[in-house]
Amino acid sequence: MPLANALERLKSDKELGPNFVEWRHIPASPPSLTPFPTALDEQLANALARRGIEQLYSHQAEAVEAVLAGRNVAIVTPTASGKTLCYNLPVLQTLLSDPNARALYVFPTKALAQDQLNELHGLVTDLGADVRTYTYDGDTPADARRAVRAAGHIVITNPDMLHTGILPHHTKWMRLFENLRYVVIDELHQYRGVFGSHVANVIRRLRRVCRFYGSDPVFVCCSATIANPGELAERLIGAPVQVIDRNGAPRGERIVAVYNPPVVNRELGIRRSALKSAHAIAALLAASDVQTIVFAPSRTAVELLVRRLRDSIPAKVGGPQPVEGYRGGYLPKERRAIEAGIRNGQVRVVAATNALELGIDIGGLDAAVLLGFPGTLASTWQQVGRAGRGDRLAFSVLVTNSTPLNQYLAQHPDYLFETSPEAGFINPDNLVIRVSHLKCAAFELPFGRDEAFGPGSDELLDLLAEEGILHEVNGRYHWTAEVYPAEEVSLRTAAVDNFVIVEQGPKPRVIGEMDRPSAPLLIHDEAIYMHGGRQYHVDRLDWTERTAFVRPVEVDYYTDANLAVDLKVLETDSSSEEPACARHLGEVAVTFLATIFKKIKLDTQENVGWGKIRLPQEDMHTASYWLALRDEAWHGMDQARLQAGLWGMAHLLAGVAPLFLMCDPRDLQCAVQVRSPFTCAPTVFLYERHPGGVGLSEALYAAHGSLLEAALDLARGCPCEDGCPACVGPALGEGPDSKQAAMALLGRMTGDAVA
Amino acid sequence: MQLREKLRLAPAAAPVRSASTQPPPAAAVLRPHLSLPVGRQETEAGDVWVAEERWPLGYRHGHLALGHALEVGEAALARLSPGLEPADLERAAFVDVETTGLAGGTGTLAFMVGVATFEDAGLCLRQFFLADLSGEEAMLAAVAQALDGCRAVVSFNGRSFDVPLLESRFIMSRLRPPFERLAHVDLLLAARRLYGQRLESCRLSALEKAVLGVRRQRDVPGWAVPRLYFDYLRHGAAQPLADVFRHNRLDVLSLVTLLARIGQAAGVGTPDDPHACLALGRWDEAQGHLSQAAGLYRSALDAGIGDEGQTFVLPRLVRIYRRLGRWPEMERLLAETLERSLPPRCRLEALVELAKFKEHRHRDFVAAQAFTREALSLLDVLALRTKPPAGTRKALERRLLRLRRRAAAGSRPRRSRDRSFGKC
Repeated sequence: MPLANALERLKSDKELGPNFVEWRHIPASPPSLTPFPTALDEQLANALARRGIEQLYSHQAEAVEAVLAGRNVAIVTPTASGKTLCYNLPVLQTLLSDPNARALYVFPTKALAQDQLNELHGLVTDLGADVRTYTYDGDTPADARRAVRAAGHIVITNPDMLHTGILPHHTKWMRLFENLRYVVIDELHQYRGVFGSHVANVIRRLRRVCRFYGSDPVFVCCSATIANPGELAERLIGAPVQVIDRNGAPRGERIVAVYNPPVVNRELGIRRSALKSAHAIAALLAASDVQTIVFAPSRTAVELLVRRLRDSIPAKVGGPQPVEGYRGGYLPKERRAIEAGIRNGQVRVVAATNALELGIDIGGLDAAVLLGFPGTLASTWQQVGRAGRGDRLAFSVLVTNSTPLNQYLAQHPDYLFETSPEAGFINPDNLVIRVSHLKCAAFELPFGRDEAFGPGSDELLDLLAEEGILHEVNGRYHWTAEVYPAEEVSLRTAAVDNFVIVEQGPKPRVIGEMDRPSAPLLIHDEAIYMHGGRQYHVDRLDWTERTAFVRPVEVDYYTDANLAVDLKVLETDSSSEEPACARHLGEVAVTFLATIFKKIKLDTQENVGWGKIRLPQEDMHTASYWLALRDEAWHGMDQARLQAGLWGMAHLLAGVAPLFLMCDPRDLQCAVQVRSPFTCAPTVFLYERHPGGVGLSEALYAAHGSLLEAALDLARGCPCEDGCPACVGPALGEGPDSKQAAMALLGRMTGDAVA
Repeated sequence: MQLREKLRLAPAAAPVRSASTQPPPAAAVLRPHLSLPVGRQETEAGDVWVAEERWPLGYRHGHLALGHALEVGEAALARLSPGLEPADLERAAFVDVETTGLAGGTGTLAFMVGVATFEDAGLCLRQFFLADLSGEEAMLAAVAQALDGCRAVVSFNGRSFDVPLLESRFIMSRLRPPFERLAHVDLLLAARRLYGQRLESCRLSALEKAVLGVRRQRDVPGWAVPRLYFDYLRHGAAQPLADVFRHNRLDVLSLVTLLARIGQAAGVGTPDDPHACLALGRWDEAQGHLSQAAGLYRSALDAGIGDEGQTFVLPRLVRIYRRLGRWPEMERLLAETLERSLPPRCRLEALVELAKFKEHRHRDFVAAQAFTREALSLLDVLALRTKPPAGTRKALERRLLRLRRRAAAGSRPRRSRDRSFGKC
């Protein structure tokens, strides 16, 4: 067996072998099969039989029965467990008996919608029934749209199209909305944070439009394994759901390893590049004829891996290219060809972004190499699940990089295997998000004063009426503006307010983008901006145009900007006393002002100059979780040590928080007040980067105890001496002793006084 | 903390400005009848505000009288709206709406619907006005009633704007849209066919100037209309809306005389002006009236339409003759074509068509070879100046080879010549 041999070679390899920190064996489990439900239409059963399906997995049968009985469901499905049948069967069954019925499928991306369309076409052809299935998205030609609206039994779309293209034109979709029986929301776990909070509001609008047309569809949600699929689904659709999470699909035997690249600079805590390590492992696997997928965190990393892997695994003369990349930005046709190459085995190694983590059908490979922790356990298991077919042995390895989260996992691999994946959080009632959708909703149908759209929506309606956007008559609010509100709201807001970075020259070109909060720190006037290993000097930042003009330079320094953050507590929602501290949850107003920047010499870290940053102050109102330390927590520490300890602790907490949250590490920021005017005590704040918050603070507040323990574990397990970027931040960054001080503070707060 | 304050602190995308900058408007008292020519009608669905005005058929709006619209003949109607008969025009409704914006979607509404019909030897215009947003259902019901006895709607761009918008509004008021059973004459589409080639713009205002002889003075610009209505809703300022009533009235009157004008232009059997022939020919061709189109194209050619016109018409006419199987006329046309002085492109096309014709219809492979050779040498000349369409030379060379072979083989028994001709 090539894989077993390859694993032996990996273990015994002199360079690689010693750095594996975990080899975990997960035994196979047999399928749990159930005969077709008696209610299943015979035509449908025959069509399945023609495809070689004689029985259903237990979770499929359970889902079919619940959905046909009219219950909303959240189905939790690992990769390749046949989730599409869970919704296609009840939908097709209903369509066979009622040709007027309609179903709406929502996928987070166009590519997934296309994949699903192909799968459905296959099943419908086998069924020999007149079921018309269409995708409706930005690519749908104008002349086809009318047919889709009038005649599509199953319309496959994405949340953005539902938001801007379908709901604001619901009268053209009357046939669909009057007869809408099912709404399928696949990849539920994608709808979290800001995006999920937006989508929850789009679904509020969808349900409102359905009520107008007298329909009340059943929602079928499918999710990868997350801690709270039921809760997430219920918050997303605003109705109770039945959770179906007993997986009946078989699993083959699998080995999951963790590889931590060796430390090359102990003082600065720098490890060998994870990319090089992942390349070495993938090359060895491929050389042993093991079909392998490498998941990389960025498009650039994918390209780098492809180039290096092609060097190590040359194509046979006249033979097919054995190494391919797969990422956003490839043309659909290229993608289809690569997918086919993976399925038929011609592609031996594919380097991919998480574009391949989602449900695109590529069959199973032998091995998966994860370059860096993908950010959540849920994604990790999705990616791990890409290896494995039938009952053959499968292998996956996580190659950790040097961020706190990755190093925590390298030190505590048990965490990967024994913790349930993160929970997905959304906050449909986020004020800013909700108001923008309230406008869209009022555009769609006049709003009754007694109609609810989250708490206090009547007050918001009055505010919009005062602005002249709505006009109230007899308790109904009518849209009275000339704009089309859905166009002003992007569901994936991250992209809206971004700054573009333009390289000047005879042919100016955009070399990158930057999110708004980071812009004052990294692309202010005179900053040295690093991109793709090159240095650029920012000649000018045009704040109103959201554009930075840069030119390539080669200098021996980098810039480090100071951000003055002022944080005020506006309202405390919950508080409780904990060992050595009090935890709080509430709302804060944060002001940011980039003040000065320092020029720091690359090799010696000397300060070689400074300058002022002149940018406007930014205000934000958001949700926060904070800890106020009681005297016993910092007893015996002087002011400097306390401050260093607080900062170290803030770094640690922010570093491990994503383990509990299923969010991007950048979704949270921290602030420290040595003596806070609000708590009158040393206080550490973790606040949300998105205005109004999307539910992360609540989750941190609830996870308080485990959060502190994980932070302490991370500090203790880190091999650095006095702090490194992987734990409390760079050594000396926050003053001497910050690692020891942070550990002392955390120790007292977790009741673990050893430190 | 107040919601208002929270929203103010949120980023710029938030809609609410500080309360202090804008005092909340007092609830406006809406009394449109004090300053507008509207009267209140009580209906089952509620009160409806309507401005009504009548004109005799002889009333002139620009060059033409309103009554001329009733004289549109059968030939013109066949072009404008197949199935409609001259008698139906007496039961046509001229419809134009004023809306709260051009954004489209369900958030845009029609606050004024002008409906004009012929009644009692005159034209009667009813302008239904949404005096208060809660009265939309009643207004739409009244509009539907006004359309009740009608056979057709006449509009300007109504196919893509007015009617879909009203349909949306009817659906949102849970009323059945009345448009399905009505024929629709969209004069914008007709005007584009007739005047699109020679006018820079086919907007109603441009047509008024160019073909109707209507001059508007002090007309309210379209973009300002929504603002006026919103101001009225908020502050009760009804007086400025008088201009919108007037604007809408002029629009509807122009619809009537534009129908009359287009009816005249589209009702002529064969116009003297070759460009008019060409325009009507295209119109007929688009509607599938091929034989009529062929006649008009032929007349246009005979009357002389210049190089550009010929280049446009020739291939079309050949195609129509072929579809209709009118071979002698086709051959005559092609032969004549070679005698005219023509742009080389056009000549090339005629040569190719003649070669096909000789090969497949007459099985005269020798003549076909001659035409093909001539086409090839013309292609050489053309290639000196411009890049001829890809593949033309290859196709011609292939044809020449085939013709040589067929000529050498002598005449074989014919099989279904028409089909093989169609393929070439």
